Amino acid sequence: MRVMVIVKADKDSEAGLQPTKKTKDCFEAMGKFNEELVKAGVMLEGEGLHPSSKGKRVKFSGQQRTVIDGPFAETKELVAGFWLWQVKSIEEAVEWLKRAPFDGTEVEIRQVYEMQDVPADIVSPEHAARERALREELNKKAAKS
Amino acid sequence: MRFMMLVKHGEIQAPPPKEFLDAMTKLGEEAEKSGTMVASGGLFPIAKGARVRFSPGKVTLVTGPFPESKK
Repeated sequence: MRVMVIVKADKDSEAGLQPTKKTKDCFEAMGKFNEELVKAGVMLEGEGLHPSSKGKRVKFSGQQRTVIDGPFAETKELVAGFWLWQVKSIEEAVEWLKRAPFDGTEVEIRQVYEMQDVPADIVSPEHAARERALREELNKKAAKS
Repeated sequence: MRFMMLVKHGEIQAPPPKEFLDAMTKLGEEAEKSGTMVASGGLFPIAKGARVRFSPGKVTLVTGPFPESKK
């Protein structure tokens, strides 16, 4: 199964990358952890996000779309980064996550829906085939880049 | 440059309507053709997930239920 590991924002991540020792140490520790994850075949993807000051929100209400510029105040609800992991169970994901070089934060693990997780009465076989084709195209593009 | 779109929603109690999923697939196909979409996916409710808390010198597994469903 695939899980998404969601790292929440804090004061530091919202300030953007600062050339401090703390930032450098953090990058080094994260790099080491990522290498372990890759070696174990766990890590599929992992990225960090720019501060919310560079982001936008789009509000959907009926036919109306409203664009709101960042930054956004509720730092703890913002996402600062994520991983996509391939694991055998949620427990395996928890064990890996516990080894991550974090301090003073809470990190969330969420299982990713695969096509086989969606019941046939919601997504018809024809619809599921289209989704699979779409994902294959995306994977092909990713392999090329 | 790449952007991440985060879709927030209250924890889903019932499966989404077919029309919604059809519309999402159509949008996905368009976005793929135009070269805009890199990847997309949906997440199970938090009840199937976990949270891990990192406090100084201590790492704990936080068990649900987690009430803040809009986040």
